[in-house]
Amino acid sequence: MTAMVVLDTVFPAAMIGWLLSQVLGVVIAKWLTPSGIAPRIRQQRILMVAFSAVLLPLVMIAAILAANLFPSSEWMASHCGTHSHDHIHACLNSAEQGALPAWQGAVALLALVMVMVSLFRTLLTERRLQQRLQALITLSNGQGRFRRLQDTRAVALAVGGSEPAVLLSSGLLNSLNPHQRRIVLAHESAHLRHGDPLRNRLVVLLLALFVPPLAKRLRTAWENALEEAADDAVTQRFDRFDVAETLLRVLSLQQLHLKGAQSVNSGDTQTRIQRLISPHQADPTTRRWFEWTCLLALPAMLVAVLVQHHAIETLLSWLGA
Amino acid sequence: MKKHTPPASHSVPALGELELTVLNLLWENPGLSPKDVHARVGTERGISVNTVQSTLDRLYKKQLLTREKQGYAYHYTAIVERDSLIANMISDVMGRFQLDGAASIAAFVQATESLADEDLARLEEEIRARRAQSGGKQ
Repeated sequence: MTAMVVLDTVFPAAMIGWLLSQVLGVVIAKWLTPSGIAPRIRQQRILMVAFSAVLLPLVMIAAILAANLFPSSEWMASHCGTHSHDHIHACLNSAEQGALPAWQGAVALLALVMVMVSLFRTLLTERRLQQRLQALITLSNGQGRFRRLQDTRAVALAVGGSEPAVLLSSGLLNSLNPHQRRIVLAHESAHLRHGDPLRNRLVVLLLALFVPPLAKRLRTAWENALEEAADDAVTQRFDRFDVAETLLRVLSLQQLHLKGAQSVNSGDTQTRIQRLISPHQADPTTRRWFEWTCLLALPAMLVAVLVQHHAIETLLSWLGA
Repeated sequence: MKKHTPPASHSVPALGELELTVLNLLWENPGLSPKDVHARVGTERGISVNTVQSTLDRLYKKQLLTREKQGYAYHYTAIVERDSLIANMISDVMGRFQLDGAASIAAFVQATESLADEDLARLEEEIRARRAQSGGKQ
């Protein structure tokens, strides 16, 4: 496959797939992850969107290249023969004609570079974070899954990877009563049970493929869903008001150490507390229509792009004119 | 003895497993030579004295150790306290990485979340009221 083929057919196809994933991301972030929907379903939706940034470009490439399975058919030959060289030809036969306008190529290349930089930056940050978490496990006291860190702040973390563990600071443990300690442990254990540290890492990496404001929004929605799912798991065993009180207690403890430090608004924890003390609003009748639609849409899109190959070329030519 | 300033909280260096093991050893036994360190942590791992020497050198360059020449060999001591290193690492993880927003941290409550005292009091009151409404304990 020549470089021209990659530039003129595979690359634009991948870009269209990527743009579709961004649109899907906006739809999900804006309309399909409200707090009324159960956290597990919200997580699945965000996970699907995150994967779409990889899957949709692949489907688009497959669909465009699939047209080349019929190079000698009248369907393909008549199109490539009748249209001018200025018209976009998303097929291997005509790629050498240099169909993609230069400015579109430059924009697409710029977008690719930005996505790659974002992915590289996230990979680097993740690597550094995992090194530090691993170091904290090594420096912690205790063995097995529950580790104690000598620190006066109120810290509770679920850490995944090869050595899943819950890290709890002595400041937190000393400030909570035994019942509250059990609640914190149950919450962090729920994270480990659900494999959240690893899933979290995967989602963070995949969301690096989205434009930053959208990625941030999806990441916040993901983190909230993750925490709320762990809260729900705890309320199976503990009184939800006790869980809310424990959250508030830990939040209060953290305020003591925030003086002068950089901080963010605690809207997320407040929302979690409100959710715990309100009568449950999660809609148990939520159907997985979105998930099924997405799954069915993938092969449908592949067929549609293949069948509407020429219409898409005409549309792209029109857009690029 | 040349003194070094411990690294600032925002620049905690990345530490490998061997480096942490060596640091742990030097916290408990300050003033060890590379041969001493090798005898305690290197032999069982099957690593050479040179590897241990390089690790000590890296930790020294990261300003976590100080060293003093005694005869032909340097003797190393941890310059940073264990609790201080842990505190700096937690600050790094819960501060810089969490504020960055692009890191995968599953914390019970975000360490950087701030809330005004009156909001805390309001939430506390709300929990109490809702608990009373639902007939739970006060």
